[in-house]
Amino acid sequence: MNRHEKRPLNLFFIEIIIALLFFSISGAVILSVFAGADKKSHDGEILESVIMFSQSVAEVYSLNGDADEAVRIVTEQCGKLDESIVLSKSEEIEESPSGTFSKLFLEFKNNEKVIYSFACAAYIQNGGSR
Amino acid sequence: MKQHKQTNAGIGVGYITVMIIFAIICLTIFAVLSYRAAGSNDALNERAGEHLNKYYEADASAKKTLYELDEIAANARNTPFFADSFESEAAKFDKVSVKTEPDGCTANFSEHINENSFIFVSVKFYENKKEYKINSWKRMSALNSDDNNINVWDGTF
Amino acid sequence: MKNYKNTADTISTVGSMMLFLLFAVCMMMIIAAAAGSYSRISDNYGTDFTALASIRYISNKIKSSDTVYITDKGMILESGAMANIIYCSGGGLYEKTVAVNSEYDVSGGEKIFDIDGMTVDETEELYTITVNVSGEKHSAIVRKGM
Repeated sequence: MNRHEKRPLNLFFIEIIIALLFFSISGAVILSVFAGADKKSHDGEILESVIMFSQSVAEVYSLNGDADEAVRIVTEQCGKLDESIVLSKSEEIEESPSGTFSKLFLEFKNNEKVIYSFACAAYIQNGGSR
Repeated sequence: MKQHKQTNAGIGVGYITVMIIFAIICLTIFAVLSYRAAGSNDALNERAGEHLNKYYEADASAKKTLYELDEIAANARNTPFFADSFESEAAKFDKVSVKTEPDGCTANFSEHINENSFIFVSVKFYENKKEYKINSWKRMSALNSDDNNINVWDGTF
Repeated sequence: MKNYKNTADTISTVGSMMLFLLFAVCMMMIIAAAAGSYSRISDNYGTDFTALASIRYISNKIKSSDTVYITDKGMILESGAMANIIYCSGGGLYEKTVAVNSEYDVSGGEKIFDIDGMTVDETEELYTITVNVSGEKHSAIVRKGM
């Protein structure tokens, strides 16, 4: 009789334990999805700033054909990129008596992974026309 | 006995399960929506990046053409007939059309960005001056050009 | 003895109810946290989209126009016989198309983006476009005349 009286409460605790177990397993899966979404959102934010930065660099670079100067001006006027971003640049230069045609290649890396590659060009005439 | 059982139960069996299932459904919905929103953001940025790349590829190509045309103009200035020499050399570029003017030549060309837009460039090279003048360096919509006009019925039979 | 049993039953019932309540409150808090996280990610998407799209829109307009005038109220972009007036007012970016040389007033435009503010700084050869979206400033540079 005594055992029979305690059954509903025992059942309640057994249910809580099973429910918690089930919830913790589902919670772990859902949490990993949330973490993935959060990381993706943060990466998207970084990519957006990288795209705007690239556009600005291309515009300034077409004026002077100087990659370092272009990056400096853009950083000064539009703000710095995220500290995790590593920017590497390379240039291809073709010269003729009339002027210099140069192509700038930008590569943005985040944690050793290339997130955006970009190329732009400038033509600076020896006489001064741009 | 019956009364005793009811008070002992407190919270009936099953309520917790229903609550947990409800919470998991809610969390799953929010997680999926969050992932989709982040995915859309990523896709948007990737498309914007691709579009920017295409634009500056076309821009670089136009600048390369300008560089080559400027070199042609510089060489043409060393000949007695600037306009003829410039025109015949520039004709080697399929995309460039040249218009001769009294003081020099105007070269027009365009570079495709994508199927909907292109960069139109118009540059004037002078016979007696080293500097060129960019009359137009414009991004234009291919949908506005005459080739793509939709034939709309004008109301006459 | 019976009195003691009744007290024990009451305590266990209240205890289980408290446990249930605690459980329910925890669930509500977890769901609220998840909703908050979704709302933050969604807002972030909205902010990124508005900032990127509005800056790209303005820079494309500059690149496709013949003449650009920057005024304290906004910018006037003339292209052929038409002029676009782009201005920011009351939490939105507006655009209005009028005929060239008509009166350029900044009212009655069509809202294109929800932004808090826009500034266009002009130097000798560059425009710096800055848009303020949800308290965040986003800037880009566009070259003049090209």
